[in-house]
Amino acid sequence: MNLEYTEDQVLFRDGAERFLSAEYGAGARARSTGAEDGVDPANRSAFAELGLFALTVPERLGGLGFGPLELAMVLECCGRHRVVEPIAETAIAARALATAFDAPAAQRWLPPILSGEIHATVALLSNADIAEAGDADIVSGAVPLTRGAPGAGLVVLLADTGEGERRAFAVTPGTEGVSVSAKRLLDESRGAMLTLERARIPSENGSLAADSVDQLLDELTLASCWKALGAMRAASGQTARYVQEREQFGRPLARFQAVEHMIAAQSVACEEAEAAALLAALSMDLGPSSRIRAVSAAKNKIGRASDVVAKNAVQAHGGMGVCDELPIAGYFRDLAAFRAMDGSARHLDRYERDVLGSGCFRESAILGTDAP
Amino acid sequence: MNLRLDESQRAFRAEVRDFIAENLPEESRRGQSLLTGVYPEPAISVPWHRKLAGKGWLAPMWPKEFGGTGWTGFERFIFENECALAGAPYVFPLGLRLVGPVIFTFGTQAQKDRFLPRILTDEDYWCQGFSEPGAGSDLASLTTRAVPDGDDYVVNGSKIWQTHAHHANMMFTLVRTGSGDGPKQAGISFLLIPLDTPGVEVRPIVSIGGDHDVNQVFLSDVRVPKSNLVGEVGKGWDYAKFLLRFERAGGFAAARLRASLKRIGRVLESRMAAGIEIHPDARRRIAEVAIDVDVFEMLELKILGPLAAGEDPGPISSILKLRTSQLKQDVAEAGHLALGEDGAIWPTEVESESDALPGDYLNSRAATIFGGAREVQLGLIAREAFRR
Ligand SMILES: Cc1cc2nc3c(=O)[nH]c(=O)nc-3n(C[C@H](O)[C@H](O)[C@H](O)COP(=O)(O)OP(=O)(O)OC[C@H]3O[C@@H](n4cnc5c(N)ncnc54)[C@H](O)[C@@H]3O)c2cc1C
Repeated sequence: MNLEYTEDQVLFRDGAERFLSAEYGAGARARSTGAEDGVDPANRSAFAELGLFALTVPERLGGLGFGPLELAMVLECCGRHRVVEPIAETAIAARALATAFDAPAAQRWLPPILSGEIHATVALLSNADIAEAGDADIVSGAVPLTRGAPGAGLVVLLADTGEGERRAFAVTPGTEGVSVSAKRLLDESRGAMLTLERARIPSENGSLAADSVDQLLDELTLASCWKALGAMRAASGQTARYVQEREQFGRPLARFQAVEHMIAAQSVACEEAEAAALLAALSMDLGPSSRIRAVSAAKNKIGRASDVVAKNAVQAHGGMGVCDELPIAGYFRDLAAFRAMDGSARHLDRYERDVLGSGCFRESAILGTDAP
Repeated sequence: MNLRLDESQRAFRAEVRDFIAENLPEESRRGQSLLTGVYPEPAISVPWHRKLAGKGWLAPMWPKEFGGTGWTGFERFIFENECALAGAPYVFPLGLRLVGPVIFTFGTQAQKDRFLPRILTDEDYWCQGFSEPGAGSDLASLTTRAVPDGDDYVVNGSKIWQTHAHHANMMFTLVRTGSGDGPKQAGISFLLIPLDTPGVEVRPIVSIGGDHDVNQVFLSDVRVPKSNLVGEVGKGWDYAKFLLRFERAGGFAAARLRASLKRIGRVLESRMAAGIEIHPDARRRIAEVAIDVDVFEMLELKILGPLAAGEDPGPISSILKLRTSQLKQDVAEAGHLALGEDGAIWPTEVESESDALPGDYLNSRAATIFGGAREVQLGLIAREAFRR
């Protein structure tokens, strides 16, 4: 057991933080929110250059060889700076290519992602209907709202047949039988629902060795949790500062107890969210039941905690909280999107079934389950 | 960063587990499993204290020179988890966790030599005499007065809410020794009072759950030797704040919350075995509370794991205290919910674990009152946020 970040981890995170502070202002963000697919190519190249998409790809495939924790740490910075591009989605699609596909597929698709030429995303296709047809698979099913899908050069579909079988497919734009219904999301990023109707996916773009499908989905949830944590920390820090500056009735708002208690609730929520995010990140390599337990706990807990932070942030800012003048409204929208997406209900269900149902909630989350 | 146990931590865990399996007295385990009050009675906890003391494991939170174990924070975490999950009774904290650190940090050599060993042998069973009828949250407005007279102080006043004073032979108190000018925090001293001194009277108070845990203590012309004053005259408020940080972040409460969840798990199991259906709302709420406990376990480990034994946890202790108290209530309420309509029954005798759940729920309401009420903690937490 060890709870210290390594020097490398801190260096990488601080590098990302410095880049975002210096380069990712309102102007840069607006270039992406104004782009049709929600991703400005110049921004994407800059993120690629920083190594964000290569972060969790093994070194032998041209990546940086870090793990989910390091990606998570960078995502926290992205949350603070309201990064709108699909960073986690692209990084995890790259990781999926490296871990769930054979080498030729990985070598075909990784270079354009790592160079920033395209962005990519990961999507869940549950209850997929899969039939083999010679040198292709014929796939049907519906993909729920997936961030980063519009304009993606590649969508990694993580399919489950509903009968325990897991498959992964690399789907390119324009594949026959795939329709994309693009949406603008509350955080101004873009997402899409995909419908596959007898989509023909060449066998070389499919993978049977997809044991890691559940793990990859959990990595995506983990990343979204850390991004939310960044937004929460920023929103509560700004709220604590604001109420000390703003005066009413001849004194700072901070001197009113009702306001004090809003600030305290935010502090507690942030500490708990950070612990939840950390527990999930550190459980990724402890075995499936620890991972499932901690990731589902984190998604549910951070969902509730982010609600406390976001609502109090707006309330304590008064009218300024409900207009677009300050970043507070933006953080509120980011966190509202986080709460709504990525199977918030699914995670409580999964926890209830796998942790409560199995009785392992009676054991320590850290020392119990399948912890070695 | 990682949560994997290394070789020596695994060996340590096995050693602790074996020790508990061989030494935990059955009546202590049973007593803890039927607990409804805040702390188990000494008849339940002291036999277990003795086993731990015999092994040198009673005071992991103390530095080694005073009888601590020299364990790292992670080892303390493992130890607390193993004990709680095996159903060991909670160690009574007033001597070990509250007054002990004050004595080894601020006491004279003579006080350390006398009082610390007697905590480890349970020759002294301590209670806390801080609150007064007129001084609760506003503790510094206390009026119990100690007037010097030769080698003694003569103490007059009343304390209230003393947990286990009816079992204790010693009480650490805050008393007013100053003139009364200046801020009310000045002129308070930290005094140790033997409860067998003439002029001390202990009267019981029955709790909302029907238990006798707390008392009112009356002090009339009680003579206490001056050598029982800890640290400097008039500095009692500083020592009290120090002590309260230990009270609030006393260590690895998640393990005890988990033990309570485990009890609820067993009750659920026996109800389901009896063909009783658990309402989906109750299941959902229990799942949510279990998630909160998982997360709190990590929060505590992150904050307390890196600390040395006896190290002051600092202002973050208010966040730990607040969440410990709220989770105590949430877990107890989840247990009550698990009983469905049977939760309305107030058992006359607590004979099974499910009998204990209604009383546990009722008494849990005290958790956000003692040790500094919830509203006071929120204020402290906010002020810390403003400092950053
Ligand atoms: C089971 C139990 C065990 C205890 N054990 C001990 C013990 O062993 N030794 C000991 O010395 N004491 C003990 N206490 C006493 C405990 O510390 C006090 O009850 C506590 O400090 C609150 O004081 P009070 O009861 O006077 O409530 P009050 O201070 O009267 O508070 C009543 C309500 O008002 C709120 N309030 C008070 N001030 C403010 C404020 N400034 N802003 C906002 N809200 C405020 C409180 O939060 C609370 O909700 C125990 C109490 C209980 C219930």
